[in-house]
Amino acid sequence: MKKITFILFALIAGTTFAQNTSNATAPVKAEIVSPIGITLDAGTSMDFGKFTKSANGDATVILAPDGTPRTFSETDMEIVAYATGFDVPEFTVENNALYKVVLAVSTQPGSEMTLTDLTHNLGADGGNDETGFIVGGTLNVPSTATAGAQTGQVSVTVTYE
Amino acid sequence: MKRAIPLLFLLVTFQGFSQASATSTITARVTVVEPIMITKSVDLDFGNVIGSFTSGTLTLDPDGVRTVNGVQISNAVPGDVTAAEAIVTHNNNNYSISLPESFTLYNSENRDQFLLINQFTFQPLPNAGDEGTDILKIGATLNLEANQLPGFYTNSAGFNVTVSYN
Repeated sequence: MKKITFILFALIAGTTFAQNTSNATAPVKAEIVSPIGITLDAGTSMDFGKFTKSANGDATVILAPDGTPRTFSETDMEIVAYATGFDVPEFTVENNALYKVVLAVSTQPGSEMTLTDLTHNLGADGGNDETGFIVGGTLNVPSTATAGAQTGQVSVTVTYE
Repeated sequence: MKRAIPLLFLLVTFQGFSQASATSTITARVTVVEPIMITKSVDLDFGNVIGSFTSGTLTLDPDGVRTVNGVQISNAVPGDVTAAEAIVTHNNNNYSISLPESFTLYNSENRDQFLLINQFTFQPLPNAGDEGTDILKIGATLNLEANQLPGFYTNSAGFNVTVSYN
């Protein structure tokens, strides 16, 4: 039994060294991409501000990611004194490759209102190389919404393409 | 040794994309306010006024006090005198009040005869029984022409009082 084992090993060894005089050169390249990072710019936030629910029924408030004023679906929602009391979040991205942005609502602002249609100003979901972007969204305000302050959470993820 | 090179390449490549994504979680804020409301509770009533051969005015203050100029009133038979009242539900927010420049009352027997009301005044008073509401009292000035035809003057259309958050 021991002799059979030895013969098998010899065959394998012979195959391994059968071409020991041929060389091939393969260039090896590596480009190290720095980790992508995202930072909320100081002094910015997603703030729909203060307004009244509409007496006409369910309504929406839209924060556009382009710096334009918020828009109400019902004109009776706006309070003049708080007409400029809103804000959109601006992000700085540390990147050196194309990336995409994924937006998601982690926590809705209360149990009655819903935050939907999150959007950004980069135009496409992928292939972005800008150093930053702005996020907007739509707040759906039912006519039965309870008055008061509410907060929610939004996750903003940037990923290399 | 050559066999080690491809292995190194794989290690470098893997390390380069070790953080291919990053996430930031932000807080979305909103403050909803109940709509402002106004509900009439008392009509504006100037009471009885005695006409004159000359024109004159009767001013009814928001607190219900009448002042005449050129016409007379009877203290014995004043009639129903009430400044208008409305309940404003403002939810402890500041608000503004808009009143008409003028309003016309018509003689109930002859619509060609009319009286003009103008110079509306108002006085919002906190409603002690209901925080977040005011009792809005409204007065105005009634203008009588010389030899104004006697009668009951009114306008069921009512005048508009508008309140807005500011």
